[in-house]
Amino acid sequence: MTGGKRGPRRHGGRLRARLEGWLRQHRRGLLDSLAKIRAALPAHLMSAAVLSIALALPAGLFLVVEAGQRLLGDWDGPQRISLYLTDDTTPADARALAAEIGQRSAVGRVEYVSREQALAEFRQHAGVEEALAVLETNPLPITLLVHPQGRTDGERLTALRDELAGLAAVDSAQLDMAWVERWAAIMAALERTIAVIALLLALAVVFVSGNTIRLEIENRREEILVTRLIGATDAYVRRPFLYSGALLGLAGGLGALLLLALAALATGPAIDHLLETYHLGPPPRFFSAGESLALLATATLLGWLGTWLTVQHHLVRLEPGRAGNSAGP
Amino acid sequence: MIEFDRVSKRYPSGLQALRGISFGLGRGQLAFLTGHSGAGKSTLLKLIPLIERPSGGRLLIDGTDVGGLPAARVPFYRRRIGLIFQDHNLLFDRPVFDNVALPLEIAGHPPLEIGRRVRAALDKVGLLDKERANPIALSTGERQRVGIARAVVNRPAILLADEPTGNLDPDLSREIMTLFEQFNQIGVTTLIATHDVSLIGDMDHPCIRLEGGELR
Repeated sequence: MTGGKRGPRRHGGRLRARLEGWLRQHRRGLLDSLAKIRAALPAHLMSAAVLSIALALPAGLFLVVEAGQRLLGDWDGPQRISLYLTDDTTPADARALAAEIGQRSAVGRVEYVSREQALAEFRQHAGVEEALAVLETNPLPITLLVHPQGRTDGERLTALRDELAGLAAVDSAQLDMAWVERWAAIMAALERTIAVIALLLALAVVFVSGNTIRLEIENRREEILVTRLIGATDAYVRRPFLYSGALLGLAGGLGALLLLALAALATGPAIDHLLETYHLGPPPRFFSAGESLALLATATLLGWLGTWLTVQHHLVRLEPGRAGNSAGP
Repeated sequence: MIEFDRVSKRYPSGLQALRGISFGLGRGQLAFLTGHSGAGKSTLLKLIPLIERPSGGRLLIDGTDVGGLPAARVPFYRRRIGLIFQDHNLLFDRPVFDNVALPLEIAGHPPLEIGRRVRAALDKVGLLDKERANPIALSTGERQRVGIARAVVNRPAILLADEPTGNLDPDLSREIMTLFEQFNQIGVTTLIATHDVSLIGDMDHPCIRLEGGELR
């Protein structure tokens, strides 16, 4: 109602004033939301705990599958066939055979592993020391590790394995690939499962945050009606709730990270031991800073989204003049 | 300032609350709206801030037909109108100061200005010493005055009051009416709905009488 002089020279000042007003409104919305959260702290903590668990589950599974895939990645490199030679093969015969196999077009390189080398490597496995002590002689055969020429598919590899298995000096030929393929299939299935679980739990986060905020809206019904009567816009009414929802999501995300860190601490030693025993790749890692931030951002966004849907639905109902809304002259 | 031109209001339930209402209230005028309960006083007052929309006729505020004002613009329109309710509609979860400051906060005024204007409004209604009190600790008359302070703090062009003295004894009612007269004297167009005929009888202001949804 109060008119002011609006010259071009005043524009910078007006823009600044509007920006300040906007920031003030947001600060008020945030403070308002914090005050309301503090007023109903137990309920909000409970919701945040539920969100934490809902978020920790898919995030934790993601870590597990990722670790599994890294194991797979480690095995992907040495795509190879192990040839265990017969006991009566001498090292000289074995080296000659290795050279002969190395000439084949499908073969890139052949590694010669002597019985002693094999034993030394085997000794590194925990718990086999005592078993070996019982044996008087080295039970391990000479092994040739055949690396195919370039990367090749499973079928051609299998064909090569069958061909090499037919050689007289070869006791058995093992293709490490079969394992790898099976493992890859398991991981792919797990990954798909996790995607579905993650989607369902994301929906749960949206509903939980929406429901928490719905209760808050009910508690502040009168306040909303009064503020609307004195000129509050939809944005003004929505703002503190959206902040509450986003903060709730953020708290859930932080809780999920905390839960996963605790779970990692609890299971870490056992997993490390398992991996060491089977000589498998490096231990699974925790989320990187970037992934942690992505998890927090997703959680915040889901909390905000749930709130937005709820507020949108309830704002329409909380319009003064609608049946059942008593505030008004 | 306020002009009703054959305005009617029919609720979705089928109730015809107002029929062909025409009257005008010039800028800076004060008028009373009287009638029995159920005569349509509340409905008429609800039309001006668009809590209800007229179903027929034209409602001109400051020369503009507001009947079809888009919903998104209604909040800004309402900021030009001060509303006072019988049950004062104060929020008991915050002190008097914050209640009065609410319209200014909604409009996004800077804190210093809010402080200045809230104190000026509280001073006007004689409650400057109660700014930190919770409205729940105040008497009914004091609460009504806080409600008035909240309605005028934004310097509205129009002041609407629905039974503002409904719960007050005659002395307090008189006091409240005097306050309205004071705001009216500084140019605020004022419309007060009341059934208290004895109170307004000795005040020299026009009176709009409603009966069964029509003007008498």
